Amino acid sequence: MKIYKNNWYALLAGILGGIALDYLGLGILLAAVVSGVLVGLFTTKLRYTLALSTLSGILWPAILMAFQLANSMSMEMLSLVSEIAGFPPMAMLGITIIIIVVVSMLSAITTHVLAGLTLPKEP
Amino acid sequence: MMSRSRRSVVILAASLVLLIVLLGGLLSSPIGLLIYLMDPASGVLESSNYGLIPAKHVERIPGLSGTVKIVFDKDGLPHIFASTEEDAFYAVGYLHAWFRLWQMDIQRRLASGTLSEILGEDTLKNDIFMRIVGLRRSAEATVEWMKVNEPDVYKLLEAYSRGVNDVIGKLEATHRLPLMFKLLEYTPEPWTPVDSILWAKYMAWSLTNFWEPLAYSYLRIKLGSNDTNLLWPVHPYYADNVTVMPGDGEINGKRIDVDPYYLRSLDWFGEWATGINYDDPKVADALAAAIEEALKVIDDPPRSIGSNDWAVAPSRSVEGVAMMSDDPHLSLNMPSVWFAVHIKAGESLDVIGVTLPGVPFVIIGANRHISWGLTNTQIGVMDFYVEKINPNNPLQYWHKGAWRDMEQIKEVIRIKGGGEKVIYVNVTVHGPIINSEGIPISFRWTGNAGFKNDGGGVTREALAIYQVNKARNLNEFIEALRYWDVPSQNFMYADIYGNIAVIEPGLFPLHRVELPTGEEILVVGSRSLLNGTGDYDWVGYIPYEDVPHAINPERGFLAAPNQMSVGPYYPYFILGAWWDPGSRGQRIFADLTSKPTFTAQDMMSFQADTFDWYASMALPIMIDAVESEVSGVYREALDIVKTWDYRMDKDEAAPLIWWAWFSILNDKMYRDYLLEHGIKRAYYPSHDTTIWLMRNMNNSKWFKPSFKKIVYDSLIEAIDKLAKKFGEDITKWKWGDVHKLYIRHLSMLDPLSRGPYPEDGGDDVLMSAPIPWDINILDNPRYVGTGPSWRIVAVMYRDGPKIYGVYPGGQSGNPVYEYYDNYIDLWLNYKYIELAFPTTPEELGNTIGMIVLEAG
Repeated sequence: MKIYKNNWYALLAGILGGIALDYLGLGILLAAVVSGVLVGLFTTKLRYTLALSTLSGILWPAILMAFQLANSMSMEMLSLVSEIAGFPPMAMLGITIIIIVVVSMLSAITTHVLAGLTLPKEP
Repeated sequence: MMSRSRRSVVILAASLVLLIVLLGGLLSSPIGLLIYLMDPASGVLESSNYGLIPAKHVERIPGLSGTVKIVFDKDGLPHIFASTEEDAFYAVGYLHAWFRLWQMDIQRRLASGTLSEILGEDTLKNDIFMRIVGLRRSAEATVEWMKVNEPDVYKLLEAYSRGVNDVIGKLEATHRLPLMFKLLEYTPEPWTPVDSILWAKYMAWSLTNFWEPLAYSYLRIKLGSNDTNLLWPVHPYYADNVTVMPGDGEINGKRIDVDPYYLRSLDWFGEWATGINYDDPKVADALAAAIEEALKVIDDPPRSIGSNDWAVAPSRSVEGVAMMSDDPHLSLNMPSVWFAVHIKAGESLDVIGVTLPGVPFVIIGANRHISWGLTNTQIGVMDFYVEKINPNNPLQYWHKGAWRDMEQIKEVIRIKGGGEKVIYVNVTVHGPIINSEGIPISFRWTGNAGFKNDGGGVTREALAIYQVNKARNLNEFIEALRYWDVPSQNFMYADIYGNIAVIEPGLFPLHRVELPTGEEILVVGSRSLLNGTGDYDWVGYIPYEDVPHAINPERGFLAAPNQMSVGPYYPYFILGAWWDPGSRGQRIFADLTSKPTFTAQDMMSFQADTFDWYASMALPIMIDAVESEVSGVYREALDIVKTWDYRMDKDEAAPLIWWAWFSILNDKMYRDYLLEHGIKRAYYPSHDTTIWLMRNMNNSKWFKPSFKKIVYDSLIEAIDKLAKKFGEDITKWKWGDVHKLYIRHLSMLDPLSRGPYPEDGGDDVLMSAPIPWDINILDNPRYVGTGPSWRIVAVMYRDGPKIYGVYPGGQSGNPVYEYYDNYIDLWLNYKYIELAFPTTPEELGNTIGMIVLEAG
């Protein structure tokens, strides 16, 4: 199997994959892993893998959260949960995105390196 | 230098290990829970979409026989229009789950003893206790009986369950389960008819689990018969003139044929009445130890609960129509115990009122013909038995001349985190044994004994309330209540034909007792533990025809705020009854005789009445005792209570002074006395007893060193403590600074709760809002947590009733939705919603949403 590598595709696949899989109910962590896998598969170099998986890991949950928080009741729910948890709302969102980024990045690196070792190179 | 491929392998290994460690760590840490909760697609943010009233939601439902329209009026009240009862009750289940799913789930867990599965070891004690009680076992037996004997009602419970489960499926698919499921990381099991019956059983249990016979036995052991009977009399001191049933107790031409005043004067702890020799120190010590063990398992000391209801006849109404008023006092929580709904099914059912989420039928409300409300009768329907165990076999007990095997039931309680606790419930012919240490004490409760009194647990209140929902007149109402087994209730009734009535249906267990005179009588309930060897077993229940009831009394009103049910000559001697001593009864009787005729507005103002009858009885005596002794700030305080109208209003200082003064007086009277006798838990006598002692025995041992001195010292201490807390300026003191309502969320989480709100009312007044009579709460605030959980006034016009109601809460369980708490302000300000009662959806006019369920 040959992978046609393209960093734009990698970014797009990472973002869309994350959104779709989370939306379908796989859960945010699994979506982050798969999103990272997609980025890792399509990026051309390890440094792009790092950069794009970070970008994708920020963007896809941020897009979903932005849609969600456009609803004022979701904002209220966020404040409420923050009060219950005793933790500021922005910190909760921030930690979530950081974790997604790290998971996504590690998963992307693993995939990228593994693919480099096992799959034939593009001509 | 490292080769390229070797470097790749190192990177691969490092990233893989880090990934695995990170994921593993996340799954088992609070950060993992945070990530799960913050998941934008399926986390808590999505739960903000739960429990909303949709502008228009259309759905196809397989199994419906026709289209069901649910229309929401401007107050958020849903009106269900269905063509069949099955469809209608499907819709009730659908609505309950749509708005209150977590509440339903936590309630069934509470009742069945499965809280620990989701909450961990903290709730293990409750779970163990509920497994011992065995409500789920009784609910299962009841449902099996219904399948065979009442298949039509069973079908309605099934339809209701389908409605619940369809919503559960939908919520799971859209990740919109309520917030609490996500916070606790679990999903609901499917709903079944057993769950509905279970919650009804729990409500019955919570209203009738009177532990007084245990507590009184303990008091008898520690204090002796004389003091116990004086401080906790068989019947309250001031209640004979305000019984629920007018008259002297005669019913259907029957009267008790032994002098009832002689019966009241007897020592019912005597061996002739209980089979227990309390005078034998060995017996007494062993029993005291066993009771202490049992109370540890129960952890629920005796307490007063109560409600108000009354009805006035057309002759006493300004508009010439019958009116009914009811406000059941229950625990006030978010979400409320009640969910209001109007259910119309073809021509067979058209009922409006409040349901219990989890149970399909309207519990308190009205239909086009009749209205009804409920209060607790407070009559004892639970007895405790001392079991004699075979010394050679701890699983055998002595009963009616032979050793019998106990039934042993294995209960496995799963605990969050993976553990489990296995317990074995030992059950005798009387019921389950409570304590595992000391002499075994079992208990028999009507909800477990069942209507056949065979211990099978089958009770028929679902059938009864279903028939009440449909009853078209007094006869049908009375016939329906024949099946009401537990909890025994005062069903207050008014109809459009001008009838008023009160019926006390329920299973009232009878013992046969041979009096010291040799006469044999039938007695309801007990004040003491009973010998379990067979002589004190239940011999049956009061026949339905003889349960206390009154129809269209000459005086033109009926009232049942938990006071004494019947006059002394009722044919069965009611021994175990934990009646309200009568303060609310006295007050509502005064209200209902204050003028010739009343309006609906009067009914509402009586529900808000804060007059404290005990204060009116006690304060003049207390003031008189210290009048000549006080000066300065104490004089100022005395002057305030002297001119007080005895209303427990939140903005007044006088109620605060009265509460503090009387609390300290009670403490001084009883605390040391009880401690000296080895009683650590607070079993203070009720206020009517204290007042009776003040009026009749003010030189007794409870007034040390003298009546005047103890009352004086109490006043000084009260004022000093209040001044320390609120400053020297008495005019700035307010009852509402201490007396505050807190409507706690069922999860106990503060951000989901509402309040505290300064509140009118008190412990002994119609506007019930009790806080402890304990001055220490000045420094450790305790909030009001119970009170009128639903206020209803039904005006029964001939051409259709007008119903007014309100409860403290809101219809939705979603804490960020406006319909979560929109009724609280109304309730706090004694305002009501006029419940729209349309015959068609179109008639409703101003609506805010609609759900259409189409047969699919």
